[in-house]
Amino acid sequence: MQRPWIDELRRVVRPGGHILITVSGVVGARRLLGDELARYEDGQLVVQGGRFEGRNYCAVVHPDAYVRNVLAHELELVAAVPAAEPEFDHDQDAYLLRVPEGG
Amino acid sequence: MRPRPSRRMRRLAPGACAGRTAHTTACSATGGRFSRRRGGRGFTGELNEFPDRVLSRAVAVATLQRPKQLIGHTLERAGVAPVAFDVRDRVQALLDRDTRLRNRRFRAPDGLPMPPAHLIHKVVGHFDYELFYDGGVTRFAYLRDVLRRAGVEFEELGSVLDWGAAAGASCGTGVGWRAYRSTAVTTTHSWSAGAAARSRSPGCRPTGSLRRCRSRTTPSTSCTASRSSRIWMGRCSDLGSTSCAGSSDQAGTS
Repeated sequence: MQRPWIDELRRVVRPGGHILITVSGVVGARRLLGDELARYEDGQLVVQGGRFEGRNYCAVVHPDAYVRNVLAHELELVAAVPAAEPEFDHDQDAYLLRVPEGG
Repeated sequence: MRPRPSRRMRRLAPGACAGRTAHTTACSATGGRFSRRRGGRGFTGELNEFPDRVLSRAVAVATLQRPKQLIGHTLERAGVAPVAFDVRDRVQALLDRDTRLRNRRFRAPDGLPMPPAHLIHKVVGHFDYELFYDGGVTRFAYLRDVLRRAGVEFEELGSVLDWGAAAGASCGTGVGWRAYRSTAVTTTHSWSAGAAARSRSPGCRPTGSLRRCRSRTTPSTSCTASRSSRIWMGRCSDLGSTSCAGSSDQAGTS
């Protein structure tokens, strides 16, 4: 589901414009166990409660590699701020992307 | 102050040493004893030497996560998890007299009315006005800092498209709108799919709609007309903002 969304954002933002996204990442990964944790560490998207897609009971944890390689694909990664950074008291990772000029 | 181990933890902690000799590695370092002396529920011995990682992991795994996961998985399998958790939250809110009193007294510093508590709960999972308001201010400051790191000043953006409800987009919850109001950004587009938000948003009027899939998380362009409904776009006139009114083909957002 992330891919169509990022494609849509890329479509509506003008070339040179910025896309700022926040995703559940390093903080969300702290509650993962077993297979889910292994998948996360392998750079794969982890979906919990997928049956309840679109509700708060569905949680998706994004590894950094997934954001960089999949979501930020065809976009320029301007900044990546993990939630773990102490000066940012936040529970989601932030990524600032830019739509390439002429893209 | 270290939280007192729960009754379940007190039962499980000795078992954590099973299979180890009394003086090996983690077990020797966690050699505290649970005791009913001195008040009956004390934890005596080398509590201060209990390594944080061991204690926190044991508490998290043995005391919290397993029973909760078990209940959660059971409810999820039965397909009633959202309803069950929603009911639980509402009952907890009903019993939480302090929060209800604080909500009644709370006046937002920006002078704007607060959305209904049940809509706040839909977005952030709690019913606390003050927490919601402060969270919005904090989130906006966070986003502004992220932009600033990349040399982008929020105030210099010509226009903003705030997409999605959870991070503060919708007029109904108003987290983002409240913050943008204090900036020099003249044009803010907010897309909200929340019908409840639409009906309760002071100063917000529908100005257009878009096709959207019945699946709430699918962009408007990736489904056929037969599977789609309309997405609502609002104009918050009292916030000094303008809004796009038309189709998803509009571009020009920075």
